[in-house]
Amino acid sequence: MKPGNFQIGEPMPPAPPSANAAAFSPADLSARRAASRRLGWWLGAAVLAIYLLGLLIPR
Amino acid sequence: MTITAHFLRETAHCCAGISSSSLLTWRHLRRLAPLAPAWLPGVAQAAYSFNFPEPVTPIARETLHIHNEFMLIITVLFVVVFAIMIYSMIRHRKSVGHQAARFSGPRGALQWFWALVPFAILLFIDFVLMGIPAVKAVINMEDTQTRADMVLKVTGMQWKWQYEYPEAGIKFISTLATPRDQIANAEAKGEHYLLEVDQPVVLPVGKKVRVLLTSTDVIHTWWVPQFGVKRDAIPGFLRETWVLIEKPGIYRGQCAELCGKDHGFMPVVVHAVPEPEYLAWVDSKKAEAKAAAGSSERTWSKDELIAAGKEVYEKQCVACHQSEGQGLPPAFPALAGSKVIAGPLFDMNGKPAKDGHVDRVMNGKAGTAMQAFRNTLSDVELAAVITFERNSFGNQQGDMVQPAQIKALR
Amino acid sequence: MNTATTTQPTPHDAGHYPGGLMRWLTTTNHKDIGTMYLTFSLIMFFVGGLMILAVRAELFQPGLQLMQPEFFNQLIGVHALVMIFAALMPAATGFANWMLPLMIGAPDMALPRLNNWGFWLLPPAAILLTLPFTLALFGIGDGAIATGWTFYAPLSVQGGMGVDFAILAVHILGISSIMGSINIIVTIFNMRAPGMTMMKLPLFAWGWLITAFLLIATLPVLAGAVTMLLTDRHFGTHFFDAAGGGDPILFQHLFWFFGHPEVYILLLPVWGLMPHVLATFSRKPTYGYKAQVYSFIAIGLLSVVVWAHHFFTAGLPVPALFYFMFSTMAISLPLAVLFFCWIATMWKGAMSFETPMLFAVVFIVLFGIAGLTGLILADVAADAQYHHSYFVVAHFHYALFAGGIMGVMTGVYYWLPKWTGHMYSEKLGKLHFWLTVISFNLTFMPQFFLGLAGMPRRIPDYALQFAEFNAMSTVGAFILGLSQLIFAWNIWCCVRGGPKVDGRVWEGAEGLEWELSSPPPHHSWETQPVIK
Repeated sequence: MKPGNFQIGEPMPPAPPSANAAAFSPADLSARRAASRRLGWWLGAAVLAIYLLGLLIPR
Repeated sequence: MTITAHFLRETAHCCAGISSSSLLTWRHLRRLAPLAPAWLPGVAQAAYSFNFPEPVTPIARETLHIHNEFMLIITVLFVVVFAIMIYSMIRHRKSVGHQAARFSGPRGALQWFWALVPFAILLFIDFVLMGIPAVKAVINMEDTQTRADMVLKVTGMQWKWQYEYPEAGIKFISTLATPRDQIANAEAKGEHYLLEVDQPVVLPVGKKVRVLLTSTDVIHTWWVPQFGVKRDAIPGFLRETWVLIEKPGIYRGQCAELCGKDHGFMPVVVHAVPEPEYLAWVDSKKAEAKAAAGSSERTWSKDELIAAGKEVYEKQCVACHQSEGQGLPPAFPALAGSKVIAGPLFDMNGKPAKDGHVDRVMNGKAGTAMQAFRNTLSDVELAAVITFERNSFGNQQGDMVQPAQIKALR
Repeated sequence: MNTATTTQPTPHDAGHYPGGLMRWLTTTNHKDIGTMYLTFSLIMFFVGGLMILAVRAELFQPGLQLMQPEFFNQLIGVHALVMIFAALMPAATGFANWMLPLMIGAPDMALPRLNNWGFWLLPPAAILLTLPFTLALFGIGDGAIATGWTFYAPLSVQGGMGVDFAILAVHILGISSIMGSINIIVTIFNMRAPGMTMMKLPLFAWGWLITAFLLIATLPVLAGAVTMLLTDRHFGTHFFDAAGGGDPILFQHLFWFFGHPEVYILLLPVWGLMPHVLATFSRKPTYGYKAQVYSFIAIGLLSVVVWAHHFFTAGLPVPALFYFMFSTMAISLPLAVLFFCWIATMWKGAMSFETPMLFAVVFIVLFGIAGLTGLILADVAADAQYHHSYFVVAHFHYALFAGGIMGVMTGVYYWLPKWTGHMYSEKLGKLHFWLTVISFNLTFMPQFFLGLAGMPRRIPDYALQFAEFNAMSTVGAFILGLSQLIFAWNIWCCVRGGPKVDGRVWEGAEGLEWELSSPPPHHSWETQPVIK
């Protein structure tokens, strides 16, 4: 969505986003990827935890 | 009409091909139509039914009433909402020169009010208009015990129903009566194709019948549409519902839960009769049971057993083991040349040989569709069907099992 | 064209990635993976479709003509599993892969290798699911899973090795979906361009975010349930066997704890897509952005607490019946907000009706039928009659074909020019649209009446009073199936060539994805856009 599209009742400003564009720096990108990997492992652990809850059901 | 016409015109210029192609389809269909009855006899009756069948119990009447009311509500909702949308699609088009507005949310108290009105209406419909009658109906539906006149126990099994009247001591199995040839299109289909059984349940009209349900193998669902009740029969558990039939007649239904191969072939047929007729039926059933009990005492000849066994086989066993005993391997093994049949009947102590023929028929095989017939068949039926199987399909054991032997095992 | 793409430096690895088959096996590019997901989905859509056409042919007339009941039962179950897990879910994941990085200003998904792995688990799983059919031809086993897609114990405990294949396949499909979901969540959280706050996130991304969380919360429960089934079958446990102290209804609780959210898992990405399409072709901003986001969240939360309405006839305690009835009805409220916002987005716009818009509009109407019949199905009193009948079959096909598949078709027509750089044939698109809509209703409208008249689901043969509506439904199904060949042909032609389109594609299109060229460059946003 274009900038400003979500301000309720306001018209959309026409400024193209590329006007303020800057290249992704390698440092920024690798920091984002590292954060993603951490969160990914946590989510994976949550999945495993829910799965293993089944062991508590009497058989 | 005009609304639709407008909408159609919007895109008509781009899909000139449709009319010709759909015409083509219709022409083909028309050409096929006269062939259909000749190809499959018995399909001539036209029955376009758009609502529930005629209700014959208080629950079914209430359900129909609720259903009609809800259908009205949702039809109104549907028409109103989409009338607004279609109005917009006609008026607010680029091709008629409409300029797009820029709003993206309600502004001001009035707009918020109009945005919240549909929400409030729906809240009212959900929890008052639909909610309150539903609560009343459910409480009524689940009240199986107040002033119940009698109990009917229904046991689902692959793929037939067993009915038991605990007070009268009657118990029997009800199986599909439609001949296999009709299903295979080898002969004309009867009027009640797939909805007919050998022994229907008989219930008195005007009595509240508490129906208890269970199953011996997988989950089945007992459903008679005209009664407005549908309840699962769950192995190892008892579920209940109730019916109070107000009008004598024959009512037909089916199993509604996928229960394996012949799920489509285990109908429910209920004969609702006036009470005196019901009592007479109970007496005749009791006499029948007594005669059967007596007959398990006497010694049967082999031919008698084989003849009786053939009848039992064709009701209870043929669905899986097939008419020539060839089975449907690997799920349903063949009886012709079966190792189980070729093995010994009894061990040294006079008990059924483990995994032998008597053991398998009486106790079934866990984890397969082979159920235990110990409690569903009588001594005579068990002895007869075992004897029949040992001397048919090319099996030539030559021996037999007497009803008295089965009785001694119980 | 816009400056962001023209001034972009040449991708540093241009010309370094392998060609041919190895390109597809080893790719970590979100567009390549998205394309693979969508192609896989289309193929499986036809596979699942062929299965159900065989079923509809059998049901054309009473009597058994083409197949035995065992095979019939296998077809209906595998049809459902294929359509849900191998057609609809991969289509939505394909959309997410292609569009999320473009929409949020990222160069790619956050975890590209996980992405590749997630896709390549799908084909083996699909093979596992359908392999038992082939094995049975050679006399090995007795065919595929014959319990319906619901795996209900004890029927599934009793079943042949097709059940084991399906259990294994569902595990693999589940792992694939979980990996896809994790990737989507972390991408949305970490890869947004500067200035794109969560409340500026495109609604498509919001819809997918909720879907991804639902998958993570519920797929492990499904996996647990089918694992318990596996141990009941082979390792002597008694989770679902009353004789050993278990309970068959426990399976239904576990299955539908996953199964109900699954419906919203399939629908939320489509609900996210709709406002984009409606706003584009109404040339007007999305109405009620915040209301839609909150509705997504509310539906996501509600969806995990209503599961038992799928087995109202199993004999639940009365208080449980009331709880599940009213909580299910409550879902209609946030859903009504969405309908209101969709129509309000169109209201006073300047609409034009290209193929995606036609699909979007009909999606709203037909999905409306699914929602309204869902409302009455939630009612325990009436549900006793509808349950396990063709009424339910019609209801969920309005939800999942009209709501799910036609939603996916909306997205395909909307984004296809962006993906390929070519315009599809509008004429074929509209032909496909009209044939689909008409034959869809011809197929499924009669099924509502069949259900009311008392025809149970999943039966291979039926009583004579159901003959007319079944014949109509079968005719509809064959037209519906054949019409999809137009869809496939149109996509094929569009991929191969066609009139060139610019980055914006649609006159009224708004959003970051339209700022890039069509097709977008190999690394989508090498230059970061800034959102104010």
